Amino acid sequence: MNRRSFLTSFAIPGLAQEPHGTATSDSRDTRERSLLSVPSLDRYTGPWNRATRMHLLRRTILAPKYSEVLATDGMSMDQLVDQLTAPLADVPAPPEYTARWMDASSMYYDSNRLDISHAFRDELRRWWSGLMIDSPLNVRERMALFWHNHFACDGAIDPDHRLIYIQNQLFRKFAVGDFKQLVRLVSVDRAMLYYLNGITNRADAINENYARELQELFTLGVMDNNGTPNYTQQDVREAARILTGWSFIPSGINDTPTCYDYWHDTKDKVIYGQTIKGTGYYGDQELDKLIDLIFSREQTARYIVRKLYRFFVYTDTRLTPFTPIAREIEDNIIAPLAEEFRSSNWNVGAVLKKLFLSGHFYDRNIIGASIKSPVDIFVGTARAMTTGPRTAEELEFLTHVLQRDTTETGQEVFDPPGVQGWQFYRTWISSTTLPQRRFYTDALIDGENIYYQKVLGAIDAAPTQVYGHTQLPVLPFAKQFASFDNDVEQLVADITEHLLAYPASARLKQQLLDALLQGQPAYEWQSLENSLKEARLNGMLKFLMRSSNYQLM
Amino acid sequence: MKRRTFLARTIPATLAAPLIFNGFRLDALGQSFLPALAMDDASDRVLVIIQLAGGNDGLNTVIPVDDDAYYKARPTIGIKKESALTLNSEPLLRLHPSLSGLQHMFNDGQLAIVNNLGYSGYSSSHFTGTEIWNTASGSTTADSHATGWIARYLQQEFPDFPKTLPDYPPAVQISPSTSSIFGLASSTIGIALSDPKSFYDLVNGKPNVVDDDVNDTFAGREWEYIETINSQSLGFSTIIKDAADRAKNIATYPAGNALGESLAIVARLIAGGLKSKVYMVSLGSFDNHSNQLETHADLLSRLGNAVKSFMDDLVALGIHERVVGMTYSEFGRRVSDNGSGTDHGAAAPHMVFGTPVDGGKMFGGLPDLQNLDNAGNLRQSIEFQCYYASILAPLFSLPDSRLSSILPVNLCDPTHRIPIYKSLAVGVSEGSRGAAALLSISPAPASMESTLQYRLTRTERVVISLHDIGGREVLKIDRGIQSAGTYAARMDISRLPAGTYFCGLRAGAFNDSRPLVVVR
Repeated sequence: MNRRSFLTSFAIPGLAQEPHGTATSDSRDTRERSLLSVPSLDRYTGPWNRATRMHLLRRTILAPKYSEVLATDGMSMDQLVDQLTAPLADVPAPPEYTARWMDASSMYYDSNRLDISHAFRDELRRWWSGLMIDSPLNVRERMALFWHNHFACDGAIDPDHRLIYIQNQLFRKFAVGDFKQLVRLVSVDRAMLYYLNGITNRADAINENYARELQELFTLGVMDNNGTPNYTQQDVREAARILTGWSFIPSGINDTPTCYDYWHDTKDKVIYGQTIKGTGYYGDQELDKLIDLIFSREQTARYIVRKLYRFFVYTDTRLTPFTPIAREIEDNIIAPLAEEFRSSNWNVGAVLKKLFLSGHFYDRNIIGASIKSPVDIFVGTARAMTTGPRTAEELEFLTHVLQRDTTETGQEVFDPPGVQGWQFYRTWISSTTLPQRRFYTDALIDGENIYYQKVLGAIDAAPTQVYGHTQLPVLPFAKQFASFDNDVEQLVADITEHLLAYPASARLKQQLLDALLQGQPAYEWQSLENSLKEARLNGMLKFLMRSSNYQLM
Repeated sequence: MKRRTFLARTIPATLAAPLIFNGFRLDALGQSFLPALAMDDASDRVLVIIQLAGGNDGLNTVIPVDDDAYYKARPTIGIKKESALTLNSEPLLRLHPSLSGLQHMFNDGQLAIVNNLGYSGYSSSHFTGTEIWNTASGSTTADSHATGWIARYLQQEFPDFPKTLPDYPPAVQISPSTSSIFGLASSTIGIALSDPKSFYDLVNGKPNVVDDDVNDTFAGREWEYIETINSQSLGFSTIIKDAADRAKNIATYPAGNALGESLAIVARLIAGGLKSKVYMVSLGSFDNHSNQLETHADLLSRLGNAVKSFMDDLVALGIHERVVGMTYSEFGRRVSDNGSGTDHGAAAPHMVFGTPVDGGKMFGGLPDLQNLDNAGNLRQSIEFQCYYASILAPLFSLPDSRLSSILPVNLCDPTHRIPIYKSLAVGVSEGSRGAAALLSISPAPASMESTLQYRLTRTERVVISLHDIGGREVLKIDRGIQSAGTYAARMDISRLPAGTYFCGLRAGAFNDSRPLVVVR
């Protein structure tokens, strides 16, 4: 095997040159510092062009359709950011099978019919992919995914499979809303009560599971940016005592969880050095006080803002709060955004708006620096190549393969790997998942026959086999570009601009051009039959999607 | 492909051939089996790491059945003494009823228990705890600058990785993604694969795009990372598939047991000659806050059955003398149950298995349920870094000068290490040395062909190879698995340049070699 020349000719930061133990964090940080101009939340004043707009769209709605690129060409930065971060009033209707279940009155669980539970979640996954593909110009679906990862919850653990749908709509409703209110609601959300054992947390049998994750993962984080722990084991214990007794009688889909007094620990609790008086049987008031206390601590805003930063801007896990470069981001980006978060009464939209208007968000270091998650790469590909409306059946077949693709490459929606959620960043890319990603983008372009089990008709009917075919519209996609007919070099430029955030090198562009021309002179392109053009575009798009550039956004 | 640089370090090229040969023997830390110049580099031993993700409940795995405090603390999930499985040499401890496979291994001397493993200032977070066990840096926080402890060992073996790729992956993980145990400063030294065939097909089915235009930005750095992973998967897919194709599992693995399936792949890769030094597999869902009795029994039966099959397979394949397995988990669980499960705890037992292991023994003492910490957790009697050091250093013949840049040895000086092995410290067991004998090579010198005669005293997998003076393998004859008897292997040397070569015989863990001069 020949080692790629780029590795020997180019000094790679942090790679191989430093045997472990000899590199001080100082030397690495000095090098990283030179990569980044001083990060600042000051308003972006550089050129507002298609490239910057597309960057904003990729990070907020996944990859934009070409029609969306054209539609936003005339929009100012404020207009576009306002539209992307505004709360949406409408709530998308549930898909057909889900809707039927939501009308049924009783709780549903039958361990002999797990196929129904699977069918339910599979339909939800297709539905959600469809919402992402055809979302309006708004950050809502992406934020719903953020919350699904933040409050990671396994949909398979519910005795009632509908609870994960209810939780998912909650995330949509609070996409850019009041985070404090969301934490309060998630703490007694039924799927969460099941998943982190809230329903078995009782005065005589304290279960710390939710109490720990509430602090470690959902609000405070393990430690502050000086490495001081944000809570103690004692705080976990006391929070668990405050949370005792929450349960619900599984009798109907609209049950409200209640704090049952005979399971609630009625004694005083001391958390973060403060006493929460035992309120007798008013466990809901104690929960309110617990949430108040958590949100009175500075680290809560910091922790959430850091997580939003990593999701929307840049995720290098080495950017811990302990390094100088991270401190620059911490001091100049995270801290003021956390202040905005608090002063806006925990309004997530306000934080995002400030971030998307900042010069830092459009820094050339940041554009193309985010490694695509499986949802980004597969749903994003389908989105970027959407040229018009699909029939319900076409959308179902497409989203069926998308949910398989994302699952196989490590992101099974409604089944995160654990309560810490997906770790994003480089964890997406391994020697297994990288070739898998290429295999499945190939399949999206080549098209494939599909068959799967689908439950139709009555809610507990046996599943039936569905057969179909799905393929992304390669030719209509390319025809959108004015250069399609007679300027093949411009066509390559147009397609790479549309599909790549990390720009194509001259060499890659030449390879893509070669794929279209196959040794013929450029002027031959215009005389090619459309069927030939399509076949060559197939090869060209697969090649492009196999590039490392395409793994980034 | 570039020759691995570490070979150049170990072989003083200025010495005359026989001296190199003898010098290599002497130089190799006194291990008499060491052999075969460059045949297996310093050693062909293998470490298999089994992660029990989620925090395994040690007290219900290795149960202190005569301790009343145990039953008092666990009224609902305590395992009754009469249903737990006995351990011959340890009357005060029994195994969970699902662990019959491990019970047999313990009583047969193939498995040792190391009890009360942990560390001071422990974390109760899954994520942080896992990072601490994976990095073993001595820090008690998740330091994202820290590299994995296995990565630090392998980086010593492959100092130019990934700039220069060796001809086999240093470590393999049967998983879609790699653990931070293999994490380098900016890359990973582990190859992740779900199964060798599909890995090969995926990588080689279509051309892979490579580019060489790098931006000096954050974005450019991520782009380079992806290119690096690309090169690794391209480079290793063929050799991994070839190894998997060369061997077949002999033992039967339990059906529907993903851990067993992963270990079956590991056994095949080792038996098929893949020289990776470390393998990792994992079993998840140990976070049993509720419904523990049922869930934990199922998990432990998966673990026990898979490991027992793996051990049986290693023996049947004749590779058991050079493979050692170990478990780890981010923490144990709380001593007191919570009504139906257990919350996050601290110290816990883990297991080491394999033929070289001084099995049937328990190290680290009984859990002390009378002396819990403030949170009601067990205190450790052995630092987990010491557990790592005790396994790693003898296995790969690492002197403290090397070990000290892998693990914080201040937590574990040599006198405190656990004597886990019965045979490794002085070389591989007598048994394996007697397993085979290299009888003769004739004619020697030779020019067209030469025949190697050897004798097997039991069934072993036999590989014959010829290396040149630079350590390059120039000929390899895989004889497959052969039963006891005397055999002859003919080597075609007609196309080799004149010079001194080393002819190696490997039969299971047995290794020997002799010089062969080729004349023209």
